[in-house]
Amino acid sequence: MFRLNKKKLGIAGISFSCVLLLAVIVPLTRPSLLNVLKLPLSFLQFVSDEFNGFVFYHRNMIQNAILKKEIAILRQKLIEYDDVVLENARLNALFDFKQKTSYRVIAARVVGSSVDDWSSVAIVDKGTSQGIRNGFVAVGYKGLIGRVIEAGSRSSKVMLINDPNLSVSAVVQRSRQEGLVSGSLSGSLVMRYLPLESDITVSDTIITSGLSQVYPKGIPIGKVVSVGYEFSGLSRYALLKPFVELSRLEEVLIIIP
Amino acid sequence: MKTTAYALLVCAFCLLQATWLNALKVFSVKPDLLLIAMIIATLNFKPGKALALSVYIGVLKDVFSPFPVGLHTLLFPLWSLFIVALSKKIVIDSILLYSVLAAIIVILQSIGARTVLVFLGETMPPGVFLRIMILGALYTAFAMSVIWKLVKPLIEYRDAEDTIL
Repeated sequence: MFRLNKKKLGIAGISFSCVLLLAVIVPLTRPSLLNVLKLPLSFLQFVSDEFNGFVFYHRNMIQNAILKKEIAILRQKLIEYDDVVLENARLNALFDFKQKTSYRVIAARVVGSSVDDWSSVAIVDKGTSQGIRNGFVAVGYKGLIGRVIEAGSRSSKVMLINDPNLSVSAVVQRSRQEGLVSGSLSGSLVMRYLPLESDITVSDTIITSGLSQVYPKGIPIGKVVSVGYEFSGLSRYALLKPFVELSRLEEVLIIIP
Repeated sequence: MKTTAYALLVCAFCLLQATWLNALKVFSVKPDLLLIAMIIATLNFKPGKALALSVYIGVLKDVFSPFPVGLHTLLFPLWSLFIVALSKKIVIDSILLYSVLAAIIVILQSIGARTVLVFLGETMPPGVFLRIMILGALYTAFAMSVIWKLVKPLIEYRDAEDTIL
């Protein structure tokens, strides 16, 4: 039979209650605790960036040369694009269409990431004092990055699109086939709920559909690398390679709606 | 080693895990330095201090996680109690046992954490779950042996000083 020591039982009960209370309180105090840790995190990130600069000097030099060439090509394309925009504006004015407003963005620096392997989160150095709120969309220069899930006063948490808990309504740019893109905590994304007769092929570009009204329409997400059938055989899925290198994020742009 | 010094070391581990350790990811998995710190604390400090340290480590881990409850704040003291109970039955003194213990706790924690999160409405494909659980256990077990070799002299140095005094 158990012989219960009342004093020990009481201490154990109180300790457990305190831990339980702490477990509930911790999520509420996260933003302020993150603000405290922001400075050392920024410093470590800075050291890491500088170190990478030295180690990958040669790779960066080659990348720089390639990017310069790309810039030259893109400048040429931009000139052509400006003509198209002007033409589009003229046509829209003719048909009395409402002009789509351009997004206002805030640039934020990534200072840390999640410490466990079960989530894909980036910690950025901007928060509510800079106008960031929960639910705002984070993008990169190449495409969609994720969504703000916790905005503190001077730092925020962005859940990345390769987290399985984040789903984005998307369409195939070419055929306008709809699907739902979610993460797999690895380098690829999965587009699900594609009908068997869906028009989707390898190297198709996937963009946000704008149907959920959370993500603005037309933000590039990734490129299709393979298409397969779901285990049930009732629908198809596509594996995507995100346009943004999510494992090496340094800066994000947060869209202010 | 003093508890406050160890607490600072744990804080450094946490910052490293959030920044530099991303460069050491293997298949999107990195070793859990905080769990390693909790195991070392439990096996080298008195039970009361070890329990307090495990709560502190759990809080630190929860600061960086997106989950709606402080899951690690709850789980880490439980693992600490489990290790204390286990260490009364068997002697855990070799680096191999430390690593095996780390691997077992990573697996149990993965199963426990995912079960709780499924009830909170967060789902994950089984393939991803198995990849992270198995690789995480192996990687953390490997990191355990490296970290223990680095931390052991610090802990033993202070202990020796205390004995002389």
